[in-house]
Order: sequence, then structure tokens, then C-alpha cells
Amino acid sequence: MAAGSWRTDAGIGDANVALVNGPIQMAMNATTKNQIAIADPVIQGILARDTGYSQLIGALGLQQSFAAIGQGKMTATAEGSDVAATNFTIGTTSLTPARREFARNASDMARALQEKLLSGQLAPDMYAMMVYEGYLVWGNTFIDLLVAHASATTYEAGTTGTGLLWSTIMHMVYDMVDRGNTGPIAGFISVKGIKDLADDTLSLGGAVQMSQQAQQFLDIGASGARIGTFFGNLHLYMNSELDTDGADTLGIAVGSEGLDSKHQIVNLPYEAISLVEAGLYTVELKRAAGGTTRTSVATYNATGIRQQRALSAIRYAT
Amino acid sequence: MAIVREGDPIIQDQFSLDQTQLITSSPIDLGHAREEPYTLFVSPSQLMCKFGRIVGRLSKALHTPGQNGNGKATGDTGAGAYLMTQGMTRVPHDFECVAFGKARVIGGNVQSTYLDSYVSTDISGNRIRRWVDAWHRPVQLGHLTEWEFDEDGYCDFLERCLKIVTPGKISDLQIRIATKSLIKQIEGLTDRDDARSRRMLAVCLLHLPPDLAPKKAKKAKK
Repeated sequence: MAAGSWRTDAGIGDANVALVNGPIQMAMNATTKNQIAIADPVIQGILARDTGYSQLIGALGLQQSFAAIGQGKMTATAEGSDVAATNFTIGTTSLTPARREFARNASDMARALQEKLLSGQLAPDMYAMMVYEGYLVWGNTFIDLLVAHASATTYEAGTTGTGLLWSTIMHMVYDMVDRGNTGPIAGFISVKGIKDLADDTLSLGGAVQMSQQAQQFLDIGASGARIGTFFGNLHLYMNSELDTDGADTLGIAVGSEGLDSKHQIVNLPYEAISLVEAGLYTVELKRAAGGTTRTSVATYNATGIRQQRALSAIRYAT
Repeated sequence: MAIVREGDPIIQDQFSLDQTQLITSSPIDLGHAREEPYTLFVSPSQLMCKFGRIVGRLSKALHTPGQNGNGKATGDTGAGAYLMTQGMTRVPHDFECVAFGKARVIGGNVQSTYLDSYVSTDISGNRIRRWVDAWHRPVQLGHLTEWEFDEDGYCDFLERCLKIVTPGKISDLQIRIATKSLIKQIEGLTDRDDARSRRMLAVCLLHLPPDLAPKKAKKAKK
């Protein structure tokens, strides 16, 4: 061993360890925004309805019918004459859950060496970390599936190849209200869309720019993935899971009747080593060869368009 | 999460050569590409304006199991059937297409004239396959991936898709549907007097067929 004077770097030579491992923490990522999206009342409403459908029994999917009831008006009729009867009309949608899975491998030695380094949001236990990660990947998947419906909407706001304007968003909200959405609306647009809106706010004229709403947007616009509440009903979120069409991004505005989901809760069989059965997803442990544990997060779910009238795509240049 | 067929032990991607035979020193950044293929649908009542032309506004029926009524491993049956109830017509996967100046031919790894798939490696080192439209293609420089977009080719494609459902001349109502949102935006912008609104106005007028632009907007542009 090389000897030397006792300094911070040369010190007692080779006896110095170059680096010791610090704690392992969670890396920052664009998907964090999905967790905030799930907390929106509209998305919570979708999940609440999902639970309300209860478990599928004896069928692969669930079909729903929407009857056009209470939309008509009475006709002025001459005494003694009959009025033509109106037929019932019904629209249907279906939800057929499919399996999705996400897996991790952890060897026994890696666990022995590294498990205690986990810190912060990761919990000092590999299993707790996997339960937490299970929730996060389920959330990313769920939001991605929901916003993908933007490419199949009947109604659309915005224009191809142009930036997003506040007037577009405002017209969209009024159009949605006009179609029957009197409740909250969750809107998802990308960072580009939010930047377009910020540019628009900064170019609005005097009184409008100084209005409380414009000031609120400038104030809290960048404090989180939730950009704010606008035009009474619209909760606007920044999101990174949105679809594209050519050179456009397709954001989406979802009223409470817009989308549906169905999760089928699959209880793991006796022979499985169950880490958690969290309802929306399960985490199963499998022992692979070579002293490795495979942690498998699985869900059975489906999402679908419930009623087009409660949906709008938001198109703008990417 | 990746889609897995019931009973499949682990997530495994299909092993295939990518369409353009890219030889890359680092994985392609697949960015916004989709995990599963999709089928496009066109409707006579869903239109938009692009570079002065009236084109179809297409909808995607994703092949993702569980999406909009899709069953397990059945392609777009559910989502496609749903779009058909909304008055839409399928754009067949052998539809004649030209992308980047070349006619698209089905064969080998090309399974659709308007879709391409690329193979790359994800963060865990697994090979993954992702789908993008034929008018986007990756160009790599070192570890950087840039996506090229053939805007004219895509625009031609949208116009030709509309011909599937409107073979003859498009009707006045279709013109109104296509131009409505642009004209609304143009009318809003002509009332504003600042540099950004003028820029936006110019962009909107670029997309609107010139003979359909509101007179007031034409004047404001000058």
C-alpha cells in the first residue's frame, strides 16, 4: 500500500475508498404530472363509476346503453286525433378489460447490498417500493389510456398548425356546456399548449390582461401540473401522455360523462406469492432461477368513450 | 404497462428488423410513437383546413386491448366498430400512399401503407416496438434522434382520405364545417391589435383556402 501524507485525496493512499454510496432516491420525471391528474374530480368520478359497475361475472365485457329519454316536447294535437308515437333510441358503448403488466427483477444479492439505501419516497423496503411503483405505473397507464381517446372524438376545438388561444378554450367550454355538460370538465394539454396560452395572456389588452383570471394564470401557472380553474368549470392540467396527429397535438377536455373505465379485480390464486392486491392492480412475486425475484404488477382494465357530447379534442400545433 | 396476452409469462416484444433498416449506435428516441398500431377512420362530416386545402380530420382506432371496446388481441374490432357507429369509414391499410416522395408498398416489415414501426431499446434494455405514421421518420446523429415530418405528403394523404367518403365535389356544408373554427378564430383575432395576434392571423389565413377568408381579415392582414 502506498503511503503518503494524510490529506483529503492522497491521504493514506489506497486505503481510501473513492466513493461510498449515498441513499437511492426517486428521480424526477415528466410522469409525476399523471398523479395530479388522477386526483381531479372528473377522473375520480370515472373511477367511482368503475367501482359501481361491480365485478364482471360470466362475460368478458360490459355494455352500456344510453336511452334518449326526456328530450322531446309535446305536440299540439286536435281534439279526437292521435299523435304519432316516437320510437325510443339507444346508443351503446362497451368496455372489455385486458391484461396489462409491468415487471422488475431484483436479485437476492442486490437486495442485501442496496435495500437499506432506499430513502425518501422509496421506503426502506424493496417490497413497499414495488407496491408504490405499482400504483405509479398503474396511474401512468390509466391516464395514457384515457387521453388517447382524443383521437376518436366527434367534437374538436382549435385549428391545425396554429398555436392555442384562450378564445379557443373559452369557446370549447361554452360548446361543451351547450351540449349538456353543466358539471366540471378536466382539460389536459401539453407544455406547448400552456406556453401558447401564456403568450396569449401576455398579449391580451389592458383590462383583460389585468383581470383577476389572467393574473391568477400568470401567478400559479407554473406552480404545478394543475394550471388552474378557468371559465367556471374547466380544470386545466399540463400532461405529457397526449396523442399527436401529424404535426398537431391532441389535448382533451373530459366532462364527467365523457369517458368510462372498467377494472376487473383479479384475486391471485393460492399458489401465487401475493405482495399486494390493491384492487386496481395486483403485485405478485415470482422466484426465477439464479436467486432473483420477479415482481410483477398487473391490472385488467378497459377505457372507453361514454358520451361524445361530454368530450372535446383540443388541437394545436406541436 | 405493456400489453400482455392472458397467460403469457413475461413481457416480450416482437423481434423484427425495423422498417428502414436503421443501423444506429444508440437506441432511437421513440418519443410520441404509439405502443400499438392503429387504424385510421374518415368521416364526411369531420374536416379541417390545412395549407389552403380542405382535408379529412381522421380518427384513430387503436389496437390496444381494452381501448374503446377492443377485446383481447383482436386488433381494432371494438374501437373500429364504435367509430363506425359514429358514421366513420375505415381507411384500409393498403390505401395508396406516398410518403417522403416514395410510394408505400406492403411487404416485408411494412404491414400498412400509412403506418411504420420502429424497434428500439427501452430504459431497462428490453427491445420495444413502436408505431408512427409513415410521414414521420427518425434521423439520428450520435445519440440524438430528430423526427422528420413530410407535411405536404401527410396533407395529400388527408385530402385523399376525404375522397373515400366524398368522391365528388365537396358540399357547401362540408366547406362550412371545415372552415368554421378557423373563421371563428380569425374573427376573434381581427379585433385585436398586437404583434402576436397579427402573427396568429397570418397563420390562420395560411390554412384557410384564400377565396373563403372573411373580407375583414384580408384587410387586417394588409
